[in-house]
Amino acid sequence: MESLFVQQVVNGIIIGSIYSLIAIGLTMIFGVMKICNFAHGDYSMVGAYAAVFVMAWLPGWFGWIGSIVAAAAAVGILGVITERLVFRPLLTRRTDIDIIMVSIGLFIVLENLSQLVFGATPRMLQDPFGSATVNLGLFSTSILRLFCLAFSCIAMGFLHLFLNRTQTGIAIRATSQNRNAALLMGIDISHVYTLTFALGAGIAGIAGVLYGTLFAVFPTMGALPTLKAFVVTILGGMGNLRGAVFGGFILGVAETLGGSYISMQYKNSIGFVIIILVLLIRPNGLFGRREGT
Amino acid sequence: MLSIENIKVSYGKAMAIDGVSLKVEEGELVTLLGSNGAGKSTLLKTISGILKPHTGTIRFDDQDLHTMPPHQIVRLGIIQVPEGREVFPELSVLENLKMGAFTRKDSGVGKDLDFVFELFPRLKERRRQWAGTLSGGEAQMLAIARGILSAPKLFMLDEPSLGLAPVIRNDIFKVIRQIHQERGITILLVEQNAKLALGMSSRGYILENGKVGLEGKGADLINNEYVKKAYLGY
Amino acid sequence: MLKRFLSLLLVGAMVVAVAGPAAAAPKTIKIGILGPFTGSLAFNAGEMKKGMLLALDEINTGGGLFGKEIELIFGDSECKPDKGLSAVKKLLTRNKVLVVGGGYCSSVNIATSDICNMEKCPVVVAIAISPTITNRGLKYVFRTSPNSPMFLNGINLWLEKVKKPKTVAFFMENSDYGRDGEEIWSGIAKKIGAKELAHLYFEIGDTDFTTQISKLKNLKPDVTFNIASTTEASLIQKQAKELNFLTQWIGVGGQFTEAYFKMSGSICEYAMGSSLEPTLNMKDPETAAFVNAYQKKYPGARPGIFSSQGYDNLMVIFDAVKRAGKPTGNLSKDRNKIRDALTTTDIKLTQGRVTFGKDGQVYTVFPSPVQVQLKDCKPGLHVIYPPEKAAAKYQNPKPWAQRKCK
Repeated sequence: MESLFVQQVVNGIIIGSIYSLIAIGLTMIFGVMKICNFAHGDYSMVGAYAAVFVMAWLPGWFGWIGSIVAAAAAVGILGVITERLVFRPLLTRRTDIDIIMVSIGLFIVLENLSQLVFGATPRMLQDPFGSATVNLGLFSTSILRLFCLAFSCIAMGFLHLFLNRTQTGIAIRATSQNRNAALLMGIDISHVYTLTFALGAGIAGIAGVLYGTLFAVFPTMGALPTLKAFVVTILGGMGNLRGAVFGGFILGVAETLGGSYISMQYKNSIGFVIIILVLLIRPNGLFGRREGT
Repeated sequence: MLSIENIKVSYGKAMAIDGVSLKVEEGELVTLLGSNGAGKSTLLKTISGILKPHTGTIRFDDQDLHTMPPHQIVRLGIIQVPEGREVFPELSVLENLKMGAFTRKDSGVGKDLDFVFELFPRLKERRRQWAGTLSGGEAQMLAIARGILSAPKLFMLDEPSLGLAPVIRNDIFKVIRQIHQERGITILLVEQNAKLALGMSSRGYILENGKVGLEGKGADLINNEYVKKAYLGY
Repeated sequence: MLKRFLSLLLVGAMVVAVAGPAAAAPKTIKIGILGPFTGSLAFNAGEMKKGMLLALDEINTGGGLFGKEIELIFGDSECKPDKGLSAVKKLLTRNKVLVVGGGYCSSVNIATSDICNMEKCPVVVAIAISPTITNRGLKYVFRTSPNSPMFLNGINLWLEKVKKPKTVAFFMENSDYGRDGEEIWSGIAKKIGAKELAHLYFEIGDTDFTTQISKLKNLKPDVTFNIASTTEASLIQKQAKELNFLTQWIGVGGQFTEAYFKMSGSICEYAMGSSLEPTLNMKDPETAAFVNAYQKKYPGARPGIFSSQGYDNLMVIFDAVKRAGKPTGNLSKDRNKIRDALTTTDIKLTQGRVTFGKDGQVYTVFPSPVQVQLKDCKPGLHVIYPPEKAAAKYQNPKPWAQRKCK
């Protein structure tokens, strides 16, 4: 029984780290631009396909690292393109509903486009560790999973440093907290928007490579991560980065423990139950700002 | 220095500023008075470029402001401390100040930081704290300090004493006078507290329903019967 | 200006695409095909479509039927009942198809076959296996695939006579497909006195199964019944390895597609299911001809169960349309004629002889239990029961640490 508990917590932490990594870009974009982007998970899908192509001609570790770089770059650019062509024109004459509808449209377009271009056949990304596993008595897992956990944490660490230690990073946070005041500081908001989208989408692209290596790459792979990322974002507080990080881990562990000890059938609903509970007690999410500040 | 010619600004169909002309000369401290909804904040937002006038011109030295995006206007040295402080709640006090110096590349930032910490020792104590945890008075200090770090040539303050206790209000006014006199910064002050503001101003404007109702020297306005009745409460 | 022009152009293009060419008297014989052509099962539906296009080629290059070309109109169900319903309604009322074929995902087909029956349009289901589809006494509903009890018949005999597991667990796709299989196997478990340790489920499109597999690992079942499609089944195998979980996996067999073997490689060793894989039946001339024609049309591809089920499904429909006689142009009359022709179907195809029972179900196609075994670390399917049909001996799953292939 004890070993099952440890195993489930480990499973939850690992999957949670990926949830966090995807949610962090979503929440950043929401924080800065107030855009709920339902196509966010598709950035991961595109990142994973970028990796499929890089690994096709560059196998092994080089291919894998190259994939990460290529996915971040390609999806970052895709993020900027969608921001400029799809979301930017709506920002001034928008209602939130318009933006949500447009992002759902974008989600459908990207998913179907990728099926058209890449085909529906699921692909695998090569595991750089040759699918080696570790059995530690209390739990078993693959080296790849541990690596993904470490990699997500490091990526989030770098993002944290960037947002806290660089002038540009602080400007992104400032813009997300108070857009008008940011304008009065001489921050070029349009530049911040572009950068935020590039960064948020780029991270989702990297998460897509991890997700694709752990699972598989297929056109509809973005839907589930989008859903999870929204749960995480609402849980942690919309636009709150720390909330997204902790929210991801909380959701991951809650799902595995709830699935294991309460009901497997409701594993995917557990996130929503948690959201309802959290929102009853803290209407702005676990880490959300209180009204008025 | 700043000259506004007959601008009109509206929110949708509602006209907020209906033909205002106004001048601020270098080295002046000019007060803008007016009741709620008279268009004072709208005017400052328009100068900062957040709102755009549909007619009229705004010139600063020899630059047209009314076609410029806000971030470039800041780079000219036109700095606004907005109504309601508008500090970044989840940035530390120090990070807020750094954002004030966002456009600056000169070496004077460190010196200015020392200057504002001297001006507001409380901010120095709390420099690592989130700005959202500050009291109203401290947040106002931070907003002003953040503005000073932007190295203003024209410093616009929107109701800096709003909602503050009298003691703190006096401190704030002292600091405004100090930066005006010691640093020679030109100031455009929007205030409800007419007596304090006009008392230290070179000139004043009174906005009413989006138009300039009265203008004149500070001392003259204090003694104006209409001003006395409407704004000074005699 | 350019932007406005481009967006107008785009809108124009969409309007044209939606409106399509103006309606005219039918110059072709229209057959509707349902399937999840997008979504997480798009790959499998694609296999079915490939088999169907091969059948279509064969008919149309031979001049079609009654001098008319056959036209297939594909309706996308995305494996969602609501999408399937709107797709089938469009086929029936707008495209005015004579008969509906294809069909994958039991939950969708239970709903769509009902509509077809109400509209008095014959529907021939190709792949979905839930018994419900054909046991409601619907006159216009047929199925060319064995239903789930038939599908599992061979493997159930093997469980009873050979494997005799003491403990079993269930890990099912949460759908009619998964639940029907669960019911059947639960019955078998009771019959042979095996203890049912757990009934776990997952949703179509899930990717992380570690929670469920960790729980299974803790329970150590001899046999784990797992109804899943290609992607999910392959990820489950992979994650079982990561979690060091050893069991005898038994599925229906629909997961054994080309993509499944590519995705899981040697990891799927020992997995079992029931199959109608055409490549297992090369001694049969019809099946061998199909495999050869398929590989000629799609170089490098290996025809799987769905390709041959798609092929057979359409061939049965062609046969019925042909026997029903030249279409009169009166839609309801033509549909009825085809329906009547379907009841007297008797044709030998890649999966065996097809005749329909009174309920419209084919009872003459028998899948065999198969196991994945490795040869040079490459996975392949082998019939293991009954002895007279077996091509290989059953192998007990070896612990992960003792397996040599990576």
